[in-house]
Amino acid sequence: MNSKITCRNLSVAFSGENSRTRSVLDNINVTFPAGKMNIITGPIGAGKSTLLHTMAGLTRPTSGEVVVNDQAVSRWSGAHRDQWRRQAGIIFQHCHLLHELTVLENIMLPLIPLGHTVSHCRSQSIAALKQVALFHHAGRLANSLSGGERQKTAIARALVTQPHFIFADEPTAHMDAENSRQMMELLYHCTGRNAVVIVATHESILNRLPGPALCYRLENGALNHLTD
Amino acid sequence: MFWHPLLLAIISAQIVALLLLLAGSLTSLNTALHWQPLSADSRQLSLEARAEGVSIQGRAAFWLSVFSAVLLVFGITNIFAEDIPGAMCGTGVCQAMSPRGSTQLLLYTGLLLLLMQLWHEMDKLNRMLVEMPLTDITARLFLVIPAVAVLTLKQTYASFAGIRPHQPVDCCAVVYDQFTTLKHAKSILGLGDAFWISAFIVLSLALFSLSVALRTSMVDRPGIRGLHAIISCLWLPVASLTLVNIFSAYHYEVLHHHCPWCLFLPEHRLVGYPLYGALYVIGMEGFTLFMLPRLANQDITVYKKALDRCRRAANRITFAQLLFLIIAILPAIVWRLHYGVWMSG
Repeated sequence: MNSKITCRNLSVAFSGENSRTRSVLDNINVTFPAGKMNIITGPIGAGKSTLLHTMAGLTRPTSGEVVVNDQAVSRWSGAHRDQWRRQAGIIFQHCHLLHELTVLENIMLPLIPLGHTVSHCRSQSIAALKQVALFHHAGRLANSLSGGERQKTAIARALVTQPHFIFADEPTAHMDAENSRQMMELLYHCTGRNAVVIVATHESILNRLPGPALCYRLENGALNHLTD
Repeated sequence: MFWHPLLLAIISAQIVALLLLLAGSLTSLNTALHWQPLSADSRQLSLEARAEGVSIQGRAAFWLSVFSAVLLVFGITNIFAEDIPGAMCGTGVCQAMSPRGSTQLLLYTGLLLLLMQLWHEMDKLNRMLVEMPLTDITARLFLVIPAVAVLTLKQTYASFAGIRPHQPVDCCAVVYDQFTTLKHAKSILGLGDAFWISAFIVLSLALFSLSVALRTSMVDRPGIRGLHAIISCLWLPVASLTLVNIFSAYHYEVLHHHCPWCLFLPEHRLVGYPLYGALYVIGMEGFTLFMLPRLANQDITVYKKALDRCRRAANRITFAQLLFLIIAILPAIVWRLHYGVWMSG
């Protein structure tokens, strides 16, 4: 499967104070190919998270569309949008783990709607935990983890279904250099199975990337291609 | 003025359903006027998001309308009669309302359910496909519904407001007042029982055969659907008339008690609910079966889905018809086996 994600004239605006609208993304046209690392950088508040959330089907664009395999997934309605979300692995900036569940249970969650058996969910989740070197924390409650460990858990949860589309929002923000490198390598590994990997991060990480990447800068609502 | 907690529940459900319908009407109007699926501008995307909201509101209004209609029938048949002197069944309650008021109330309620059922099926079909190709048609249909909902609410209030709780009614005596002679009682519209039984058997066989043909057919058969609609339209009144005038006698075990409402009473094992329920299902599904492919013929994918729905409708009609036949006719057959003669001789 050789997928790609295309944003066509994508704009997102939020209503602000005094019923004024604040434009966050302005007429973005871009294609993110499969099998390559796509890095989006930009200043704080530039709209990186909004762009990722819009592509992942979490928010609707104000105008324009997100097209995946010739399907305008951003315009799909309710139940169909859920189907699109199930194809995507999303790493949130704030992790969004369920604190009352263990690390293993958190990672098993995306597998439940796919209808696998519990033993299959468990073995796949353990494999994902091993990939992020958190196997020894499998039985711990999520609220007892450190910031970096939570992010690793969130990464494992996003990758456990082996999705074709991965949206990572600041996936290494709370990690040291070594862990950060390991997690980026893991995301690079996903490009090897032809997944579309899009990472929103700070520019400082560009010098430490373990491989080639397509880099973009998001500023003032516009997305500009930097360099390969 | 007549008042009862159940009536409050009926009117409350109708008001909430109407508010939901009115709330969705503005978006439906915009959708009907400005729907442009090939465009991805802000107005179109906003309409798409709001159309999803209207779909949820419409579904809530649909189930509330079904709920209020069921409560209305239950109230008329089993509850309100207790508070009206002389009333023993729904006939007494309808009589207290005035015959015109009760007829209009039942007609408006039926029409509302018919339209909402069609909209609901169209909406379900629309949501099956990612492009939602029927959104503009469903929006136009949606715009018709609030007008009927207003009439239903107004008629519900007017009908029950017209009841004077201290004024006695004749109840089923009005059924007997319709006949001046025994010969008159033994005929329907001037035609004898034999004619109506024959018509019922012929139409039942025709409806059953056509339903089975539609259910099993793998290809589109618009001609059979049209014929099915005609037969359904004939079968429903004939089945109702034969039920009330001929078969009900075996449930009541009384000759010539032509009351349609007494079948709902516990004394007669509440058989009115499954019997009229089956008629309702056949009416609704027959209407869906006829209308859905006509409204969903713009797109080949959605048309195929509509044909699948028609097969399911044909299936439901078959089962509803079998249920009706078993419940309506079984007491007559038991009577014949037990006594060796039909009740009418």
